[in-house]
Amino acid sequence: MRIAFERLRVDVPGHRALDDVDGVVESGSVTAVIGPSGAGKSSLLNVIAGLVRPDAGRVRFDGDDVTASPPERRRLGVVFQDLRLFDFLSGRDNVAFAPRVAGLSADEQRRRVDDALALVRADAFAARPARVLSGGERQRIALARAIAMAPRALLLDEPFAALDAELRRRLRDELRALIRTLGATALLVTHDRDDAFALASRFIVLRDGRVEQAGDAATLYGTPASAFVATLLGEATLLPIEERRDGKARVRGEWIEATGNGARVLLRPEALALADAGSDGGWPATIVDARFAGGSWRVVARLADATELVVHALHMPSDASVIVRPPARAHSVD
Amino acid sequence: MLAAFVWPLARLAVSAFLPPRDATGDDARAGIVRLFADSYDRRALAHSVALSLAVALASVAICLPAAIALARGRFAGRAILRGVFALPLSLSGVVVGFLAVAMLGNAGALPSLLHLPSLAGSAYGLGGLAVAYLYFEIPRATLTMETALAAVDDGLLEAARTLGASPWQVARWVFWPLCAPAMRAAFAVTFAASLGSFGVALIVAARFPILPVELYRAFTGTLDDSLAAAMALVIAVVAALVLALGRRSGR
Amino acid sequence: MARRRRPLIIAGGISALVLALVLLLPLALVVAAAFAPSESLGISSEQWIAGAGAGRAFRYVLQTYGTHLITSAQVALAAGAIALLLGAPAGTALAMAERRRGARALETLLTLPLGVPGIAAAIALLSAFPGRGGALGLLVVGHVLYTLPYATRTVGETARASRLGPLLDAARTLGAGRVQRVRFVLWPALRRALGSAALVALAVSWGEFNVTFLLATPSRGTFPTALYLSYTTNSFPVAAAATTIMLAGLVPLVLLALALGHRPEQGA
Repeated sequence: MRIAFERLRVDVPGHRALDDVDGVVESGSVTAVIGPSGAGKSSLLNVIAGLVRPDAGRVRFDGDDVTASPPERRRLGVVFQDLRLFDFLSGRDNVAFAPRVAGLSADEQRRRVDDALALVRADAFAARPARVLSGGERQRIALARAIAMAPRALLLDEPFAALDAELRRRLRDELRALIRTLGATALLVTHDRDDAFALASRFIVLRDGRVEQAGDAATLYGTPASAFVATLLGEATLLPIEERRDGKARVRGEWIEATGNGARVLLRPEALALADAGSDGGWPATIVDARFAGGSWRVVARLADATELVVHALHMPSDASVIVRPPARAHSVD
Repeated sequence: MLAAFVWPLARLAVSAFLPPRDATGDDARAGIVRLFADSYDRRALAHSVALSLAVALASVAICLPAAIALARGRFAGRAILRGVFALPLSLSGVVVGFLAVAMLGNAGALPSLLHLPSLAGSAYGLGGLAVAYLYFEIPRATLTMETALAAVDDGLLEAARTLGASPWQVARWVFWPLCAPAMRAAFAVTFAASLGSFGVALIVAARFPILPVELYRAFTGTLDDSLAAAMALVIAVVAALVLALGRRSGR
Repeated sequence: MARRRRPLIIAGGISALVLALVLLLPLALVVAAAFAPSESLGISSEQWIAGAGAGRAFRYVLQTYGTHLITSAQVALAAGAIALLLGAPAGTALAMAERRRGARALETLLTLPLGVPGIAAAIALLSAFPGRGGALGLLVVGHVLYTLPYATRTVGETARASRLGPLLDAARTLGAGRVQRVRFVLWPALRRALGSAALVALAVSWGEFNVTFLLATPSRGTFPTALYLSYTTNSFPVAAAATTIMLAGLVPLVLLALALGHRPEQGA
């Protein structure tokens, strides 16, 4: 199912949570809404789920205007950030909730529940009361509950917020596989860029209630529209452009082919390289910090004017004095 | 609710400051003035406040160890003990007064059981009131403190130990400050409860100057609505003040 | 990891036990006095009815104060029902609307009677609404003024603690309509609190004295007023019997309410 929202506006006492927000989630794909706290992500999710009525704008499912439709009828599987499991029910009964209220036969209910539990691998503990389950188990039950509905699309709000790093990674991979198996359309709300990269193909970047940029992941990473998007999606160093000529920009004496019209070039750690001091070209620098990140080194190099760059290097240089080589081409932002 | 409750309260406040109807001469001053002018009424007020204060303090002190044990101990039968404490809380004042008389009245049980005949008859008047107040203050103080103390985070105490504090220091510098709000709240609640207790006073102190009874007399006996209003107002205001103070430090 | 049993806790536990016994002793004595000749308990009564046995005392109480019992039952049921029917929805609604301005204020307003000492409230009410003495309706209103706040608070606190609002939202996204939400989410979440609130309301009404006493007439009153009469006019065994009846009604209500999760710190 294709989800589209246009010109959404939501006002809460004190400020505007969403301001003229547009976006699309294509059928069968996963879009991540990413942004810092307070950017309006949860408001957007609530509007699409039907829990909040927008003050302006529309929501469309496959072209049909559902803005006035109540949540009960939207058939979206929502996994809330605080999970909202019914603690007075067992895990199983939680999962059976939607099939049950839909009036399905007992057999059909059981089938849906069993399938959903199997998909999230929660069969082992589903019979226990929801309130005694661990964080990871509760997360799985919450997911199964949404799936058992056979929803038209999934809405996931910070799905792994309360979990530790290891569990987070594991569940993330499982969720990715699950979504692919189901061929589901999904909207993921998160502030964690690793979650977004792992699960989504398209991004919508929200800032202070507005869409800063939207597009596929690689585009936003490589050619962000602003410094905000650039730093949101990954580590970056921004250096001012001194002069432009013929599509090239001079940065600290080095000429780089620069796309975009910004005043600063965007230098990603993996695009920079280290060379021994004395090699020609590049910027002289001193290494001030280096740590091994399991596969490459994360090196912080300080230039002559105290600006610091982050570089991902495959080998740790032997000397503290190095040359940092910029890439041949880089994007520019303001 | 507004009509049924706030309005009468407001009206009460106003009438305390107005002279009573159909009154002449000396009696025509506002109730609140006469409350403080008349020596008997003043004594009643003083007795009420002083006694409530004293017993509230005593009950908080007496009940603190028990409250601590209930909140933090792990022994079987805690629920039963709590139930036993909950029971007197739901008894109305008259019953508590009766219990006091049964134990310490002219023909009460305690003097004979304990072979202390001098205790007989002590129920009526100050002693009996104090005992009766204690009877329903003990559960109230214990349970109020227990709730507040149960919220004390064990982790804080452990942290203090890791920082090098001895058990005594932990008790004094960490646990005690955490107890204090609980104690203040318990004091406020028990004080307010005994200040306004009517049924007890009726049974035990019918001939002893104590405010609730005087209030009843003013209202039904002499039909002095202004004086009655004044007394009721004083009770309500003092109780509300103390409760508000207790709650602010108790949160 | 075993925690060292601090001596304070042991001392506290013992004192708790002692206090509990102190609290129970008079009750036990009085109940015993209702059944046994009180001389054996060391109590002598000036108005001793010669040869009175337990049966006679109870029968006397029922004869003399039977109407009071009935009135108490009527008022309690009415006040309890009203408290529940009005208080439960109010408490729930207030708990869920927590973020809206005025919800907190309204809640404070609804639970105001709990903060005012009974006698002051009674006087205020009766000055403002001079009662047709003993009218049943007026008694019920007086009781409701105390049962309603308890019900509102009990149910409201449970609704808040179980985060009913977000849960209902989740149920909506899962397709549940209004009736289904009540049946499958609201009711299971609030069941115990409703039961506890009902029991507490009944217990409060059963024991209410302040307002009732000022409203009652010699012919029409509730059982607590009967108790007062008994204490001031009857012999000790009769008074003891009446008290026992009072306890027989109160104790089960309180114990059941506790079992359902009621927390008694604020009285009743």
